[in-house]
Amino acid sequence: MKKWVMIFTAILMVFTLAACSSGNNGGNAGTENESPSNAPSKPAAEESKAPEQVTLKFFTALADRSNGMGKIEQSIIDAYMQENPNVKIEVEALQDEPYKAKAKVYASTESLPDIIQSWGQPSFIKPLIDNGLLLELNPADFESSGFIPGSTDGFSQGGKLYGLPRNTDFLVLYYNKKLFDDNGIAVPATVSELTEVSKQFREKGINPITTNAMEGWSLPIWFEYAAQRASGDFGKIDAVMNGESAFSGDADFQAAAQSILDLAEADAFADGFLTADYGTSRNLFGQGQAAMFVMGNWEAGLATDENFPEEFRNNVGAIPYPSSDKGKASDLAAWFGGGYSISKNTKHPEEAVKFMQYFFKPENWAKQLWQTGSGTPAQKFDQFLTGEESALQKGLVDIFNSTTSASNTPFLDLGTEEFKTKVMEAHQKLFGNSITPEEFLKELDAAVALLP
Amino acid sequence: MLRKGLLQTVLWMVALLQLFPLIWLINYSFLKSGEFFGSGILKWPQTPEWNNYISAFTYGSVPKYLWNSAFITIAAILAAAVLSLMLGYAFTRMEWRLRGVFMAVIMLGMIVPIHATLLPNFILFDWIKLLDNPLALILPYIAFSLPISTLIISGFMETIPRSIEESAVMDGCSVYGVIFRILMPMTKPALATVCIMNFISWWNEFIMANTFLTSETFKTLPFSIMKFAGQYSSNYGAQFAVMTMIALPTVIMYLLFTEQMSRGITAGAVKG
Repeated sequence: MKKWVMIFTAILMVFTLAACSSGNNGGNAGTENESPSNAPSKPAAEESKAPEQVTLKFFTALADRSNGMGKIEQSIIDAYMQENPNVKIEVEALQDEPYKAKAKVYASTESLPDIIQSWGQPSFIKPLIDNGLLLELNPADFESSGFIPGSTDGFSQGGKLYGLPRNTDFLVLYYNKKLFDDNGIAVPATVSELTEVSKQFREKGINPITTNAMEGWSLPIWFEYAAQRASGDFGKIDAVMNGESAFSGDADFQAAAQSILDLAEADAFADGFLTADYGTSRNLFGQGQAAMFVMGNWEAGLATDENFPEEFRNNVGAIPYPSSDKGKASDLAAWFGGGYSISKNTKHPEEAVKFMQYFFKPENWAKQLWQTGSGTPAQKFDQFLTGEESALQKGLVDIFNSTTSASNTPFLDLGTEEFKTKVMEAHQKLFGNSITPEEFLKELDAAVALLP
Repeated sequence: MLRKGLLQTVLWMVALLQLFPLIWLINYSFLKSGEFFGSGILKWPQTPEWNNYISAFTYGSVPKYLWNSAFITIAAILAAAVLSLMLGYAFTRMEWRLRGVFMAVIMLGMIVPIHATLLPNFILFDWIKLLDNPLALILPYIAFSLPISTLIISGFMETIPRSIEESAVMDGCSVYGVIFRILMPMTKPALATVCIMNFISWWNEFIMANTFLTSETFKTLPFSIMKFAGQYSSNYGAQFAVMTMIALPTVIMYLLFTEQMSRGITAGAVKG
């Protein structure tokens, strides 16, 4: 008898304890989430005349709050709460995929948090806008933030603004100077030189180029480069996406696919290329086992990442994708990445907008992002150049400042999830040299045909 | 002799294959993030990178999450064990109408995939204000444990002679007395099996925790891994350190209870 009474009380305790803790939850959930540097909400409670307490829920895909962009985001949030004791911002941070999964759950129950991370790509933001879940923003509110012209296009629909961009992204070719110098190989300036250089590295037993081909999203952007270098125009892919032409049967696209195949045949892609994910390819490059790394400008931190040997850090550089007789090196595959949107169901739209204004003040996000080398803001940031940037950072700025034309949103992000998967699969086959250019272009057309 | 030697080598190879991931895990938890994915499969560091564990304990809040995980898992497996014991009794010993139907309904739970329940549960919990509460995890954990647990326990109970219970009833034992004082000690192997199985499935469950929890207060261990995931690349060393600590309790449970477990599963299997 005693035994089951014990068990029963144990169960009872489980439930009562849970109930108790849920009662406390509202009180401490937010403060628990903040980084240790602050205790802002307490003084507010003591002030009797303090304005109404506002709690904003902030849902972000920057899961690591102690490094890079996540750290900056958190420090701006902390600073804001310090300055506005009546506002409490509760952060929920999940990694990319879990983030998108949970965003779907939130969206389908119409319970989106007040401020969410969004991407200025139709595959993410369009369903949210179409279902009326996002708050329309007034561009005039953010005039002083100095957003780069065109950067908010992805977040707009029907001339209305639904989000604000956080980063400028562009794809470059990182290279390891030491590997080039030691082997007496010159840095490639043209597409044919790139193939040539790759052959030379192969002969020396060094992996020429690596990227995160397993996840696959860098490959279509790379192909945009190849296509631009073949045709001299980034707009050709947009024309296909708008249904004005097709990939198949176009001599330029054919040549672009062929140039990728040439690289594949020259064995330019690192061993295990198609099975390398982001971390693997980045480490392969950082450990000096691959000479070049095709990746976005956000990897400026490579030059300061202490996980890699000093020799590497001092020797990493960035060059634009090699040119051709039609496409210049200054024609850049550049686009605007993640950003933020405000939920339409928020109870405090003014407070949310006010926080976004604060967040995007040039001296907050833009300055901190740039000066910590965590990325390139989508705002003007010339005034924050310190002159103490790493050589890699300077190289990246030079590349960006010399831009003559830009690709804008990568075409794989212009469609649905299904389209995106198909496009990436076609590219993986092409880069894996298991498909002819004709078949590749047909597969792309088949993917485009899926679009509404 | 030769056959014995052959058997030994084969067994050793199997053992190595099984142990390798564990060694790998521990090995990687002592590497710097930059040393990962190199040419060698195993790479022993010159100096072990204890920083990984330090950051796991500080920034990764492992102790707090460990406590949350332990609390939620233990609450769920205890409740599931008690409930499935009672269910097993009701299905094997008690005579009542629709018994077969109810048993079948409970067993049907086995074919429900977790992902299909996420959205309905989210709406339901939102409704009864249970989101971001340990109960939001404990209740579904219990529900998903019940079918298989009940199956194992009722299978085991069939093997226990009814005469023991009859003599207990003659001595004046109540129904609950029969269940908890007579049957519970006798079904211990099955209960242990059920508890361990449930422990393994819920200890590092992530998708439900990810959906139903939002605040830091109740997050479970798998969230700690995510804290080290950057937008593009991650702090792999610290992630492996966290994973080592997540794996540890499971490994210890296994080492302690393997015998119990195999006994519990096979005991009910032969008798029909």
